[in-house]
Amino acid sequence: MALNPTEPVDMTPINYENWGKLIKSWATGDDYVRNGHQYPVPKTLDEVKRQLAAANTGLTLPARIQKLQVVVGRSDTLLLRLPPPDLVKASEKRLATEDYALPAFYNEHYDGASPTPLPDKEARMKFHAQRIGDYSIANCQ
Amino acid sequence: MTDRGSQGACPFGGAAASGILGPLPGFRHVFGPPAAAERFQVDGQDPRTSPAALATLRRRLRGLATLMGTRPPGAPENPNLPSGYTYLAQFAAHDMVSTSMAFWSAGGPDPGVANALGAPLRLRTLYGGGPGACPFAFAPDDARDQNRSRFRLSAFAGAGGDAACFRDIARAATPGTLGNRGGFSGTGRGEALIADSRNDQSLLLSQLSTLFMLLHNVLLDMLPKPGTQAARSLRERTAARFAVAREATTLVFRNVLRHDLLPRLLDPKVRALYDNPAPEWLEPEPGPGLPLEFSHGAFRFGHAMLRDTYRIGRFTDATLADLLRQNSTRGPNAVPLTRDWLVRWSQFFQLPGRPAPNLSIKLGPRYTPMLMGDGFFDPIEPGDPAGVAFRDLMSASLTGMRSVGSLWAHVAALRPGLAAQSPLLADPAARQAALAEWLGRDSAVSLLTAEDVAALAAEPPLPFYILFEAEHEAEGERLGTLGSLLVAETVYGALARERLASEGEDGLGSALDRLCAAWLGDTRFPDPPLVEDMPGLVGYLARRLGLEAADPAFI
Repeated sequence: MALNPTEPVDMTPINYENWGKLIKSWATGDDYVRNGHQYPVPKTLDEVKRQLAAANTGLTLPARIQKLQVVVGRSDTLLLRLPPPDLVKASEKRLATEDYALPAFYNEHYDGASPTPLPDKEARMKFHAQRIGDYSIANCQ
Repeated sequence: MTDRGSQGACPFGGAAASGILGPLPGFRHVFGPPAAAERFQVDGQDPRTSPAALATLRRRLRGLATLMGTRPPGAPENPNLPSGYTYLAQFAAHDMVSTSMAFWSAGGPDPGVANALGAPLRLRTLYGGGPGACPFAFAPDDARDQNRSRFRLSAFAGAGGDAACFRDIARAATPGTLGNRGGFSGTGRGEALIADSRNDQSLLLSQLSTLFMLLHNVLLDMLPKPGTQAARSLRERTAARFAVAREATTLVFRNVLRHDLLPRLLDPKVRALYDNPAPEWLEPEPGPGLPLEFSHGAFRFGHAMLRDTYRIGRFTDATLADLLRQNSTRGPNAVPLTRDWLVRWSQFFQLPGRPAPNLSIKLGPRYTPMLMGDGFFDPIEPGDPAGVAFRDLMSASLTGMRSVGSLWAHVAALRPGLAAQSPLLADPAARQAALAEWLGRDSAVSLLTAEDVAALAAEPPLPFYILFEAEHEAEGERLGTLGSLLVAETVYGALARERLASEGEDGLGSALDRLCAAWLGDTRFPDPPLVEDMPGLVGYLARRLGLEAADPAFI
């Protein structure tokens, strides 16, 4: 299947909390989901899909996803997790005309306040760079 | 095999006749109080009295809810039910039942679960106790605030203040009050000034409520104002004017239910039994209260109609999660609605000459995963699935409602012709096999054992069965036989037995005339709302309010 680089945001968990618990379970080996299922680090995409459903993440994988790569980070190793270049370009293209969309759960930490719209392309590109910088190095803290 | 539950006696209220085992004011059971064997059970035990049965129930319903709560993308749409009817059905549900405490949360010694709503389908969900009991929902008639007659509405954010801009329910900030959203001086509009806060659960529901509020205000404005009068006559005249506008609005609402919503929802053969001058009731003389088999069983079907995304206002793909955040509770700083979010009603009902609206999703035992979103419907206990499916199933299973088998038996005895036409009702073995096939299809995700599947197929929770039946019998376009019977018996029953003073058999126009004559002498509505369906209501309001070409669009 040909890749469609304009679809970078079609892989969105509906329940970020459960998705986060699943990631923590994979990362630590502890069961954070605790609903009777086992959550070993998946070895296949089918196993990923089963665990996504079992953990009630609401996350479905788009058709473009054909392979699985698992990288286990270490605290003594700088893990440069580089985003796919086609998706970086695609989001830059989108942000030329559209605002940045943050997951809505952030609003609830700001008393229901919606994010202030970014005024122009320059501001959106600045925020894009900040976001990529943040989630590429924050190591899930 | 039943699981080992926590040690102890009855998990819900101890001795019989207390807790949810005791009286449930405002509720009843269809076909009368069931015997123990006629109630929903878990392996022959009542989960309300047996900790072991409750533990087994919880495990099985976790699996069933996981199967139901993750509808895959691309589910088929229902050409019979544009999306607006999803929310009209929810609004109607709110006008029939208001459970004081969810059954799934009703632990403790005496939770006192009751249906707090009295006479159904009288728009109490909109009017509450009226301006006296719910003054916040109504605007003062004048600067002295002697009376209140019109619904209070909010202008959309950034509006100039002209009459056409009041398109959202009223919302208020409460700075300086204890618990104000955003701190002592926070200005977020965290309070919806409506009689029933449930109608602000989602943007579509609050917008639908606004439609009926606008109708009330339009009708009120058509009636002569009382002018300057002595206090007593002013009060009497004001009360009469309010009463006429209220009852006329309620007449329209009931007319729309009868002529628009119910025909779309019900099996045609079932509808024919009820929608006539001499309905063939299953229960000719029911007791007071709303049947639990309706409120917590059949009428949960609307949750399966919800879409993942909607075309709404300016947006082409707003998610249901977005709509659930556009309210005073979750988004006090996002309301009043901005012009971009205001509903264009042609997006939700089929209006003449307009593009096709959003369609609801075909009925079936699957809910949109959007309901699992962060913070919407959290797990009841750790390990439970988030979302509405598990809550629906748990509540239904803890009401002590009739089992599907008991309902089948009564229907087969009372309506043998209908039962014979329903493949699920006519052949119990085939029914169980079909249910088992659906329930057993993904055991790696549900963790349901073969024994669990067999037990659930033999005794399915009613909300699940109603949706399964709709998909199996009606290809998801409307309810199946049992679902139609439970809904028709209850809703037509409420319309027939809880009549408004002006209602008769001769149509809406005559009822409006009788209503005006009773309160206002010779005065009549110069432009009566002779509305049969939701497109008609939208068109009527657009014309009366001059909103046909409004910006932001109304239709």
